[in-house]
Amino acid sequence: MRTWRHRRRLTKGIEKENDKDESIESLFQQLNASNDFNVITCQFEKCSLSIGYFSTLIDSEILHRDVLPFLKGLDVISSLPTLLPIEEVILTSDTSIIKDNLLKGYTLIFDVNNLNQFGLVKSDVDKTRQVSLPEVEFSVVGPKESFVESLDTNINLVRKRLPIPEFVVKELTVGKLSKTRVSVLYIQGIANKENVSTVIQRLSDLDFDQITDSSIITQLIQDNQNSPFPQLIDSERPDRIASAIGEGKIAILVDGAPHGLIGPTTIFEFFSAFEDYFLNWLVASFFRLVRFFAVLFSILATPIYVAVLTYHYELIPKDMVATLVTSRSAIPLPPILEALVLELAIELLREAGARLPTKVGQTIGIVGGIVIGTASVEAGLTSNVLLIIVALAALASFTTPVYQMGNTIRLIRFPFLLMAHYMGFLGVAISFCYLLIHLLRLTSLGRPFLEPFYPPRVQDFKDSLIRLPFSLQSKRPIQEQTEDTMRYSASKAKKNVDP
Amino acid sequence: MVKRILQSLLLTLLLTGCMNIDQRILDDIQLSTAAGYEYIEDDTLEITTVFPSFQTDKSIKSETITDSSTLSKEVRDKHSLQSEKPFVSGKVEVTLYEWKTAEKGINNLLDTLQRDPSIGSNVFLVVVDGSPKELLSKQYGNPDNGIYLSNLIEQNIETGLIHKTNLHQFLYKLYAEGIDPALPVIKQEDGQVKLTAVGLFENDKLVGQIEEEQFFIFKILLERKGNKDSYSLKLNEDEEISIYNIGSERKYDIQKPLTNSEIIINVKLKSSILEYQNGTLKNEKITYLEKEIKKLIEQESLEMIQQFQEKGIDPLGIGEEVRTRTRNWDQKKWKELYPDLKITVNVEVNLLEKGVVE
Amino acid sequence: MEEKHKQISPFLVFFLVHSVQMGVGVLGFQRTIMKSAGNDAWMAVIAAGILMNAIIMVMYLLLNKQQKDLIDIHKDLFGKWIGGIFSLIWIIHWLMIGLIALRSYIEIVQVWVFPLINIIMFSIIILSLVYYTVTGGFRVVAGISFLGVVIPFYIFLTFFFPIEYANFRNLLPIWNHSVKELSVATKDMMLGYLGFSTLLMYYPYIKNPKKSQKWAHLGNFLTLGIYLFILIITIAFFSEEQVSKQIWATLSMWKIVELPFVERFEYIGITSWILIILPNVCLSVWAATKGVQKMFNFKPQKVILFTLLILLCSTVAIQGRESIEKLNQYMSILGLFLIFLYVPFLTILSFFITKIRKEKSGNG
Repeated sequence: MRTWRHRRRLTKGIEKENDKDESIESLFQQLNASNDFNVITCQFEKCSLSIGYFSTLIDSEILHRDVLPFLKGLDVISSLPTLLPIEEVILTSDTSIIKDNLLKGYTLIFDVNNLNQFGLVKSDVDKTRQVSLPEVEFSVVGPKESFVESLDTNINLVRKRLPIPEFVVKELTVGKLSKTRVSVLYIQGIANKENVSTVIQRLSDLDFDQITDSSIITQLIQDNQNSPFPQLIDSERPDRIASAIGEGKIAILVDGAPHGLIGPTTIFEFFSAFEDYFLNWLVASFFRLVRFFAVLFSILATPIYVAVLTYHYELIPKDMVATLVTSRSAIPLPPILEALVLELAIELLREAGARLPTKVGQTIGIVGGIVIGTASVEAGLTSNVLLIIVALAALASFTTPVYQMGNTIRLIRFPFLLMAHYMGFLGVAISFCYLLIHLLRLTSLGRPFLEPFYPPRVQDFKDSLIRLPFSLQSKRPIQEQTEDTMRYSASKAKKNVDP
Repeated sequence: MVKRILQSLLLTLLLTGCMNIDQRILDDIQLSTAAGYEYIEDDTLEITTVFPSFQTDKSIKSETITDSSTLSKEVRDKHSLQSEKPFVSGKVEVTLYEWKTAEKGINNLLDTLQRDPSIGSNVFLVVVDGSPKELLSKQYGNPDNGIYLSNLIEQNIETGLIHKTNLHQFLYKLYAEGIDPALPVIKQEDGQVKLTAVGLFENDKLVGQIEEEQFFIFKILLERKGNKDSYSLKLNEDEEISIYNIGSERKYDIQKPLTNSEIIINVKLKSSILEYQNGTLKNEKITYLEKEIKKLIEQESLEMIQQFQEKGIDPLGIGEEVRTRTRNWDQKKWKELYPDLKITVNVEVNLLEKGVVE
Repeated sequence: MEEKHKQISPFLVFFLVHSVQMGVGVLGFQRTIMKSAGNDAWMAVIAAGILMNAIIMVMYLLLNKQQKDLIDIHKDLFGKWIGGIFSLIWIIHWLMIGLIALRSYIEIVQVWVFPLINIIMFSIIILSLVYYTVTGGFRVVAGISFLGVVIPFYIFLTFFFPIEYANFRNLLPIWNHSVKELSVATKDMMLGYLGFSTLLMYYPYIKNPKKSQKWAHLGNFLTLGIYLFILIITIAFFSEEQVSKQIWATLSMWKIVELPFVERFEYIGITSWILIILPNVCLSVWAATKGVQKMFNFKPQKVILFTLLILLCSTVAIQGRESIEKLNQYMSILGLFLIFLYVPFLTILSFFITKIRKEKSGNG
């Protein structure tokens, strides 16, 4: 919190400086501080031109091939656009525009004797990654494209899937230092206007210095920033973004971020993988239910074990008592410590695996899983029953298709665990109530987060915990409050209204 | 913001820190699985408690502790005095009552079972022919004695050999007007436990028993709908048959309730033949057998009911049938009427199957 | 009427009415009504339910006419001061409903699960849940009511287990109790249905409130159905004298439930019950705070904190079975008086006064 305030002050300082220097000389003076800023002055037949650029930002081939050879015939700057074989040439006299574009990779061309008009020629180097396979949201069937760091490429990937004029891309610049381009994507006539203006309003109100990724945007614009739950989905799949836009949602793409954001959304959407739409609806529904129960299991399994062993021995069926007691008889730790040690060990493994290169990470997983697991059971530090439960719970938490949600699930297990230790089942029940109320209070862009469960909308269940066949999906979800409610005309479908 | 989070964290820690709930960690408590009661003097009770001791090689040793006192919960404290872990009663599966103790009445001993919320309703109550202390101090199988005995009784209920019984059923019958409880009786013989009889109670006092041979009759008369359980009859010197109950149905026919008019119990018995000792089974023979079996069962039922009437007990719940048929039920009047009532049993036997051979 | 985004769909009234009726009563209502009506007690359950339906109808007559909540109706009919006193009585009534639910639940936890539990700390924890809900506004309160009905519904499936030991002949002979005995039982049963009067406060928060009437009736019928279901199983499962010994007959029935992975369902039942108690307390606290806030124009947060503090103090002050029973008695007297005498009276009065006013304005 404190660092943020500090940063804000810093950016304000820079703003003030910007206001002061208006002349081109002082701009050059400022830019000359960097070694990669070059100014060349050449004497041509008709005038003497200066060319300024950042050598690290421009593609020198463009400069040599498409700019320099044509400058010979130049007499006034204003004829630059007609002379050069490049379509993006800006004529301006505004120093701030010059500065911004120089920093974006434009080449500045001006007449040394006439400082009233400047030409800016787009010559930036395009050094982006090739479109590659999705890694986080991999699917066996379906498209295998994923976003890259270039906003234009990303928009291209989405627009290819929505070749209609109603598809709108609104661009904003966010961030005092990073000047990040942020695009809001939606379809006019489908997306709710209120939602669109909410997003644009929140983005333009943002007062932050550096936006390095879309996840920073999520944290800054979501409804409740102190909630562990992400309230906007992030996806690296252009097909998922495009289909969400088609549903009436609004997508946000950020330059330099290979993940787009979608909202408004519901908690159930975080447990649906995009692959669900490529599978038969029965299979997909089954997988979704499995994932949902995996989450419940992952949150509740260890706390229930701790609660039962610490307080509620009566609950254990008589045939299971012996198994549990013998597995625990040699262990000196109380159940809570035993569980915490194991849970933390799993977290360590995950964290270590995430920080190391893939191949080393895999080894760590195997070494940690097998060696530490068996050793701790043999050493009498943990019981083998708990080891199974914790390992299954960890496995279950990895089934969540959206990475951010998986992290949340792993975090909220710990309060449950502690409460189970303090108050047994009562503690688990209280934590569960707390979680429910929290989810009830959450909203995503002002729309309820627990929908269609609450407010109960039977119609929206068709694509939440289960996925019904496409023939029954003729209406867009009520959640989005779309302007055009029908996806396609199903002759019998009624009007899509909130009951 | 940070301050608020810290405050709330601190608060929850404080709150939960002084919740003051005592822990009962599974491996730090002594789970008693069975308790045997016996009056050694007039009001001094000897209680034997069984608890499993888990060995390192994963086998389970059954151990017992015996103490005597006047209140049963006091005994628990005495138990704890000689134990490394505190005793808890939440996993008690069976309670045993010595024969004489049961004759004295077990109502007082049941109070703690009812009052203690940690004791379930599925606890089995049994009467022991002999000393419960002796019975419990032997080891019968790999699980401890409590679980062994509970499995023994549960298995017999499930296969239909004895009627359904547990703490709840006993209390139901104890408090109900017009039915008396019955409990299984076990006996230890040559290091083995055996279910020998069903003990009959008048209120909470043991007054008699019915033998193993009568279990079948008792069950079909007691349960409105029953099945399983086999029955062997001796028709005459060299004709013996064993039948298996596929489905029995019992119906009461009471014309004028709470008067001394006749009460008719109709039993429909569908069964199959398990074993037959005398020749092949032709159709004519089957009808003959059905008649014979009917005669035998009716006769034995009548004998049994007469025995009940003489003792003035009603384990079959005839009184309950009368009660639910009249608006002016009077328990006293019924008690007076009952011993001299004419009760008839009508049995309809249907031999449906005769196995895979003729 | 409230702003549109704060309003809820009319069919949620079903859950609001039902959830505030369902409380700790379900766990132990059998003893009281079977004391007087025996095996005919199920008639008392139905009779009480139907009477409550009549009252719901009267309430809707009043509310549909006035289109505002009780506090405003009082202000309108009796003026600021006298109306304020009447409103205060209602507010106390609502607070008592919440208090009884909370205190009885804590008692059950004390007797059945943790005998040594620190009541102050435990109440603070539950009340903090209430605070978190109520500060979220009526939408969240309605939400927890909805979830508090839907999620714990699995609990009622476990009541099929006792059927194995049930003897349904116990219901016979029907009608062997006098009308007087039945009416006593009906009166006792009504305590189990109280609480739906919070409708008088949340009426302006319903979209198309007139449409919600059938849902309110249905909600009441669901309560009736659940009470009836549990009572019939209780009558069949226990003998009459046995029930009279059970303070919480419903919980005692759970003792028989045995699943392959869990025995002794009452521990799970009691802890899950917190999700049924929570909407009950939340809704009554919400109604009370809304009332206070409208009357005195205080800040909502402060009113909620103050109300919860009162609840906390009274929860701690009430100790032992007897005082809880006594509180129950007072509460049922007050509740029945308010519902059966005051609500019809207010309805007639409001019709009367509006008519007079109309005539006056017509003449003038």
